[in-house]
Amino acid sequence: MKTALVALSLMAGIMAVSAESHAYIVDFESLAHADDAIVSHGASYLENGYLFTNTATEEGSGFAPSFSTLGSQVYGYSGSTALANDNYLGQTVLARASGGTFNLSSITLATLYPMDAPDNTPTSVIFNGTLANGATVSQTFSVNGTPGTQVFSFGSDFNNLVSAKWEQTPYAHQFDNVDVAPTPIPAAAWLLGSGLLGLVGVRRRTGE
Amino acid sequence: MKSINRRDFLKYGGAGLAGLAVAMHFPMLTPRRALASAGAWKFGVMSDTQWSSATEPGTCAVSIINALNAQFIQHGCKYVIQVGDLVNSEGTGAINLETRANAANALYSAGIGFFPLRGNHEASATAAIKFKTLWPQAQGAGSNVFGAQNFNSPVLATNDPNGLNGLSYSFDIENVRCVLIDQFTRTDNKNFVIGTYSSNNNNAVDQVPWIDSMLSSKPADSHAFVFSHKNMIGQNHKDVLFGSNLTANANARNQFITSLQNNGVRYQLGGHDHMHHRSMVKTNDGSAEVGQIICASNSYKFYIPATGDDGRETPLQQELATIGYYIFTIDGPRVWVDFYSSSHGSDYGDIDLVTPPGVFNFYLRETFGYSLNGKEFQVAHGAPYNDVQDSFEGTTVKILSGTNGNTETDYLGRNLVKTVNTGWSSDQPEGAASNVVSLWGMADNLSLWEKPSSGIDYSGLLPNAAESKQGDTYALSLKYDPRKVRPSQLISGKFGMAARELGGSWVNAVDLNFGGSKTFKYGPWRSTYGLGTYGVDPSTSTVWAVVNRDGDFIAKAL
Repeated sequence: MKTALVALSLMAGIMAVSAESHAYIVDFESLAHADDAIVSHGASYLENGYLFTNTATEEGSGFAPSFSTLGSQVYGYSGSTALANDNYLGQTVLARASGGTFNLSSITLATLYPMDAPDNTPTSVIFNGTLANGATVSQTFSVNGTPGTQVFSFGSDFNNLVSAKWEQTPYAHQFDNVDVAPTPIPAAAWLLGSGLLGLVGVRRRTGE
Repeated sequence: MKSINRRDFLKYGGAGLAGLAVAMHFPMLTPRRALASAGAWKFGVMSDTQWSSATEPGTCAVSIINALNAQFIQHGCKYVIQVGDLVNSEGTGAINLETRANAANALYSAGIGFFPLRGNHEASATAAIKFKTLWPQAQGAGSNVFGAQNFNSPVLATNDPNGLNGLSYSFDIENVRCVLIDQFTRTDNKNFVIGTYSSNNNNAVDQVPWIDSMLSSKPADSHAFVFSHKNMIGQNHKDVLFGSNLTANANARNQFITSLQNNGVRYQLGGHDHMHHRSMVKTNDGSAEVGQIICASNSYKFYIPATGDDGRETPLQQELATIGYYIFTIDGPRVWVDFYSSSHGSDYGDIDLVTPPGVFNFYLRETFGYSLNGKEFQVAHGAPYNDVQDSFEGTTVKILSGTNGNTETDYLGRNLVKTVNTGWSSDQPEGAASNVVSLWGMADNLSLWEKPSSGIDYSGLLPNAAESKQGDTYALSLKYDPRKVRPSQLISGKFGMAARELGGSWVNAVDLNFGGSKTFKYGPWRSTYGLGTYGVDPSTSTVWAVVNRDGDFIAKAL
């Protein structure tokens, strides 16, 4: 019986590690609209446990914070539905709704309105991450002003994030295909936890 | 650039509405300018109404006055000022002034005030005394004051210290102070004596301290306009406000111009020359300068300019041989002046009318203006506009390109200069992300005159159309508050530079262009962009548009 309990605990731990470490690409396709409209979606967007929040304030503008998407017939539509922070210099914050940590692997960026030369100069988008230990990390991507999307990969220092945030740029950008995954709990920790759980079970049965 | 020469247009065009109106003999009332805000209001200005033949009563151009009265009523003026020469001949006991006084009754009945000046055609002491009895409102008395207040007149250092009461006078209505200068023989039958020289040519000289005190004591945020019969620099006449010639009483005249400039007066208005003529007039040393408006004829008579300028004048606009009037629209710190004119009813040119015109068709010939919170720029032929730049409470306006391509001259061949003025209002409509900037002076110069001896000879009833508001093509930029615009608005072409239509609504600025192709660009203005291109540059938070007219502009949702 003792052996069975320990084995069960170990299996549960392994299964949990497997599910929580599942990578996910936030693609915003639930917001798709095949029209020529620019649609507002409010100040937050939740997909598969990942929460995007526009933290802009109405002060001085009269505009509530909002994300927007371009319909597929709008010039600037990037080929799939992407989200744009629709406030001047509005900050977008990405976090897990559960409050857990996550890894940010890559993101697709595109200018909101592609331009011809000489106006299609790149725009810098700065991503700032806050780690579980309170430290901060930063990475800057240069988004072309030309038509098309660009995929940008984050360094490994964007693992174990509590949140990531970035600012809407004067020449606005939209973002898509945010590749995220919960931060895996190290296997040793799971084994230790499972073992402890098993021992507690054994002790209780012994006590009985 | 325009595809038709304006002179050719005048020469060959013009059947249209004017012809129809003439043929059908109905009076045409000019459309009213929409008031920019609820607090805006208007007053009118008219000039000499002497009449020589017996076709009009009391040597007074009553038919023309009646036509103008209808216009002033139509425009909703609060009051009307006339700059002298009320009749051609005073008559015994200045009896003919009564004819002029009675002709103002239509205004009074409409609740509109009438504040006249004397001219050299009613220059006597008898006329001075009669004037006071006919127009007691000039002293703030009687039933025709219509809300004017703070009346004041000079106190003279003579045996008749109150002799100018109600002849030279100042009054306030709303945020405007009007100062009217009588320069003719006073009630004691005397004139101001300089040395041993006693002449009504001197009579503005001893009034300069009073003028200065009236101007300097007005509230800082108010306007002042100065009126007289004679001008600072005449065109046909060389007898002027300060003497019998341009150089007379230079010290007093220079003090006068300096006072006007120092106290923010932008226009001194006169008559006497029976022509529409605007110019800038300087002091001898050029240290001060003020705008002069010589008002179009309301009389049987029209004059042609004569040479003799002493170099202190910069001509701006000129229209000869028409009957005209002026509507001032005051909206807080901003002033619009609309000049309307009609044919004198005979073939275009200089003429002494024997019978008054049977029909009046008044057309808007030019609009100019200024603002107490704006700037003025003089732009000569061939000069660029890019000096024009101004800011107000976070909004900056700039002209990025364009050159004064105007080639018009006045009758004497002097180049007409453009005066570009800026002004501001913080009264923002819904969807606005900037203050409203008013821009005046970009239209091509008004220049209507003929000189048959040089082969410039028009025929027909002129003017026969409103003068085009088209000017040179230029790029205008306006800074906006980016917090008041969503990024998605910027990319759609639905946020940009808007302009106010005459009716008051806001439209895309390029929609009011003369010609061009409407094209949206996201990014900065480029010198290669043609007329009708408009855009927004998020990196500098500016909207811009390539336009060819002036008006009110704002950055807002389109």
